[in-house]
Amino acid sequence: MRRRRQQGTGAVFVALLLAGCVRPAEDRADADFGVGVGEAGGATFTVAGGLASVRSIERGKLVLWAQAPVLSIDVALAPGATAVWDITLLNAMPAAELTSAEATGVTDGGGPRPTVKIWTVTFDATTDAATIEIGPPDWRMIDPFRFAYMTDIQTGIDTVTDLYDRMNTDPDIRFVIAGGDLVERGDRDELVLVQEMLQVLDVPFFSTNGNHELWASDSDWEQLVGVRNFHFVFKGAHFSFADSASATLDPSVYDRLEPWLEQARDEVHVFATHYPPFDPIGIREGGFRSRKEAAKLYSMLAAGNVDALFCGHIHSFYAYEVAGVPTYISGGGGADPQEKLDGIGRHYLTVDANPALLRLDDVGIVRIED
Amino acid sequence: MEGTRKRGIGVAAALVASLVGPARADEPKIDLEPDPGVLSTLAAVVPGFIVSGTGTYVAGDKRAARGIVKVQLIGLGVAVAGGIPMLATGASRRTTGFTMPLVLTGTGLFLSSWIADIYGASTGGREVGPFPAPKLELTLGYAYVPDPQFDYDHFAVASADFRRGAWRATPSAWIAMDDDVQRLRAEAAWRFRERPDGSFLEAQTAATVHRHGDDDFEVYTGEVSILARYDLAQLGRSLRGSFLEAGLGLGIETYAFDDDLFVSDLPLARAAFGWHLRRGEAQIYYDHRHDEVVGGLGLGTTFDGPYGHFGAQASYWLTDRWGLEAQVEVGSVYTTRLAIKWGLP
Repeated sequence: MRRRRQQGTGAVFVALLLAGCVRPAEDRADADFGVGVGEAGGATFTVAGGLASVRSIERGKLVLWAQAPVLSIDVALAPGATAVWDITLLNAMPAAELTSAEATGVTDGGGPRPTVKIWTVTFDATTDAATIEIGPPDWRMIDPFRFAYMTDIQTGIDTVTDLYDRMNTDPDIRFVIAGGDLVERGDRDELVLVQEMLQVLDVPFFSTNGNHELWASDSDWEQLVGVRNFHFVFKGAHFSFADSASATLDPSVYDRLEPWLEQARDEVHVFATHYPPFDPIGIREGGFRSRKEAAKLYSMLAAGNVDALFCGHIHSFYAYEVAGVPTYISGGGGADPQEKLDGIGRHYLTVDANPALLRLDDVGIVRIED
Repeated sequence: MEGTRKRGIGVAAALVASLVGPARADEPKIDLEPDPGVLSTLAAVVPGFIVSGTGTYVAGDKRAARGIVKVQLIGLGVAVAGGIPMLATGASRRTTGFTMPLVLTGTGLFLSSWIADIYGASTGGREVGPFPAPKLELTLGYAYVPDPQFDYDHFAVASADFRRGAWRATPSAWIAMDDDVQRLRAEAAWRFRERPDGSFLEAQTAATVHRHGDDDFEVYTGEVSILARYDLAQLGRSLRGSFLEAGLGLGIETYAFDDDLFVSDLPLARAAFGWHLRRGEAQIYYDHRHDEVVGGLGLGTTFDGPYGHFGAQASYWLTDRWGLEAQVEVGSVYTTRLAIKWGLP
């Protein structure tokens, strides 16, 4: 009888054990592979790398949200498929052009804002497969360019346009990359609001997710934004994004990261994620849940000659180096509580990339006074 | 079930009232044998999480209930004392060194009081005391660590305890059998306060080398900490045979990559609830370390990252010379360790 009573203590421990989760990001990593595919009117569109989410598709109309400055879209056309398509690209590069060797006609319909582009694409009735490429005309030119980095908007959603307005005054910024935590509670309406606020910004905004996006349904991110783990190349510089919203990368993401690192070993490579793998204030433990995993990630990034790691989660600014990889924490998007006593406040970073010289020339901090 | 919950809440309220008010004249002056049961255990689990001591109160051990709720309130107070400034400063780099130890210690006491209440409410206390540790103890075992982040699954684990008076030295090794990973550690401890009931205060220091050959990094750690054990029988009869442990310390880690070093401080905090066995002891614990093979706990929620790991371990001497040890931990990975041990009394 007494032994049975002792089982109460054991049951509590078992509950704690079961609460553990070895691969909390697995489902999200798997979901990346379903992004960027849409089918209607006998046509199937597949965005390479899942670099755009299909916001809507119906016969003759396709709306995408871009997660990269350059897109390659494979089109499979069944016999009798709709031949004329209006393609709307949200979160587009302002100077983006659409080209397709297989299309018989492409009409640029402009767009209501710099980051919204509309084209009408016509295929020949005999065409069964085509490739569409969308990007600014200079995207293959290996020359210097600037991008911005920010993260952790959360409760600062109502005032984030202060940052966007400042960014708009800098014509050199080609796009913004972000490390997530765009929302506070993560429901769909909040994510929609984040994207409405982005209408103020004159350049596109590419982001992985953070831990605050986990409040919501995973599918909201996939439908409204797209992939979480992705890689693109712009002007010879590589950008890799990884979902660390659970203070870890899923093991399958490391498998995807390896070829990205190999591909960019001798070129400029920027890595963006949400959590800092190591919190520079170690006693705070604001980094990955396993320090060994953090060391493993840095070891990989160092072997791949990554030029910088950008992250957030901590609502302040830190610049430090691990394994020779310059690391920047920039959590200045306006989230409360901001780290106090640091003299930082709301901010974003500007990064000058120089792919021809295989380096980042400068990382600057732009502070927004409240 | 609803009735049980209501009764539990009522008992919890009565317990708080009895704690803050004067002792009643009809309250017995001597401890009565507690009457543990299913109801008291349930009361300890559900309302007991909010007001620890509810279970032992229902079991009739008001003295233990008072002691437990005091531990809980102290834990809550310490956690709040650290948590409020931590939140107010946004976990500032300038204050975390002060606030984090308070949060960890307070939370550890808070949770331990809950577990202690469950123990007391379900057992009524057990007439068993600490089993003497041998002067020399050698342990050899196997650990299963199926961490999907790394190539290893299997470790050979060995350790030795050399005890002389208040001093102890413990070298240990974790060697992966299917990967180029080794963790070597040397620990020394000085037990500067000790009582016959097993309570003690111990200063510890340790040096650790953790090598991940295939991943091209090594970690060198130096650390100091204080570990305290308190015999809970002093709080009431329901807690006979159990103890509380709390530890706090600081480590400095140096990560050595191919050409670079990265230095980080490492918070050390541990809270455990343990109970004596006839020839050994068992513990369930929380350990804040993020640097061991088990890593920190991931709950798949928005709050992952800062947690350490939970574990349970038991040690039992089958004879005067031979014994067994078992441990399970959950952090970034579930680990299981089984070992045989040999001791020289």
